[in-house]
Amino acid sequence: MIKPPKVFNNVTLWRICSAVLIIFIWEFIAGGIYGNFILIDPVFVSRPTLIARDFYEYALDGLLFIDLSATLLEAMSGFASGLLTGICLGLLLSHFRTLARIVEPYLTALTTLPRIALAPIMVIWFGLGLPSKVVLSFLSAFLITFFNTYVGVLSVDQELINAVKVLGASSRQIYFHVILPSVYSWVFASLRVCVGYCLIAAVAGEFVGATMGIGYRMLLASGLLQTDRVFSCFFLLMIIGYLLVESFKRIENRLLKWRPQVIT
Amino acid sequence: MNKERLVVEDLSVKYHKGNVEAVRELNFRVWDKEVVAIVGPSGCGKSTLLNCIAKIIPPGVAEVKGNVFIDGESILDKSADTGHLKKLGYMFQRDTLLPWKSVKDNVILPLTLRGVSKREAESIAKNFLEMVGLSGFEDKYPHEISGGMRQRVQLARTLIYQPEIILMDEPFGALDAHTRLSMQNLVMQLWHHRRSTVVLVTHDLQEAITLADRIVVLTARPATVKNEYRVDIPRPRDAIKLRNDPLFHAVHDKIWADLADEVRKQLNISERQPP
Repeated sequence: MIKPPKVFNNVTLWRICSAVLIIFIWEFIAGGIYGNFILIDPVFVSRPTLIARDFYEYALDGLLFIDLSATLLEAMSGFASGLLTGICLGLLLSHFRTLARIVEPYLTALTTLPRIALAPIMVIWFGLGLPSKVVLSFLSAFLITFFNTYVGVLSVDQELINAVKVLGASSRQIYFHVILPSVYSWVFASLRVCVGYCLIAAVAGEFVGATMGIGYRMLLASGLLQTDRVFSCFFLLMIIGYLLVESFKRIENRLLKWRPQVIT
Repeated sequence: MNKERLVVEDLSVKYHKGNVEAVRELNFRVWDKEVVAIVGPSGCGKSTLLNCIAKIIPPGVAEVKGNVFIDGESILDKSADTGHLKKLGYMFQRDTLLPWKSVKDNVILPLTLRGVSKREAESIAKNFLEMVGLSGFEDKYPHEISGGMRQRVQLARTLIYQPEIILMDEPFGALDAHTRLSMQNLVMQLWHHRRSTVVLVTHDLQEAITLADRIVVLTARPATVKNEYRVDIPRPRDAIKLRNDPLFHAVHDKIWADLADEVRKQLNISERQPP
């Protein structure tokens, strides 16, 4: 007998309780509840109430919207273009096995390199505006997708190819019925990781040099010791990161509905 | 006199990797609408033999000598031609359904590949799915159904384009004893319904006797034909009732003596030269 799902099961309850508790303790040790007791100076850790007020102001004067759209634009346009280019070039390279073997060490080196290390040079090349961050998140998405596509083609199950060949498939049909779907499953399975990396790349790029964006706002506030604003930006990033990863988990489950669903 | 469908002539296969001789100068022929079982110790090269007939051993992996004829036409000579495959069906030991296609789409795949319209293919598939008892599972994906059901989907996929010669490589090897017996009965029913030529590779002698008109016993590696037996048990047969049939046991004992010898040899070989 399967129980009907309860709206408030124990897990949800505990999640809310723990969040409330953490906020309460935070507020307390930073002197927000009993003013004479200050364990840690709010200059360092701010306070939930101060952060909430700052967040409200940040939203009200329109800066939040500007920063949010800048960061999202950087991350998502990099993500989309990187994904497409990665799939295309990955498929292309898999046709030239010798070339692939020649460039393999380069690819491995590029993939293992922390992509953030490219941020300073990108700012030199593409300036302080959006393009340098777009390129950075493009590179993140591209390298992951490219590698996955290439490996996806190489790891196609030979026995599936044989089976479909015996059923009468031409090489073209084998490509469309076996090889491409197998590659897509590799690429789709990496969407979530990919979108996370794109967000990291955009923010890291903003740290190095920018004129707007959540990362830029954060760095600016940190220089002025506006801890409230730093935390506002921090929570904003956390929320959009969470929403992006969750929605891509849904997209992934949707696209790969033929395999057991991803839960976490 | 019946006509020859499949002739294997002096076939030798040597894998380059490890210099393994899988098959040596093997000869046998299969007549029209005959069910031939090929038994032999495991690892003796039975699958290699079927892969040769289906021409799915990639060039450069093995050296193939000798010849294979389907309806009098040599298939090994023409290196690129796959025209003969139109007559062949191949049921693999391993589950080779495409995991990203639903049961229905897997079954109609051979028709899709032949350019049959989707609607027409689906109405044909309906019959075949019914035949293998999978009505109602059309929209499931392979990972959602059991191993026995997946094997029945494979069976439907193999039968739907009505191949004249069906190769089966231990098709029920991975199934539990009970499911296996009912699959054997199903195959016999379907064969009765529409007779085709079947070459069945198995290491299960009881399965061979249940299904086949003739049994070819192969030697330990390198495989060559050791002996051939006719199975004169009248059809229709029932896989479960046969187990109590004295005729079944007589045939079984006769062949088993032969086979056991080769199984022992194969084991000795692999003890002396670990793979």
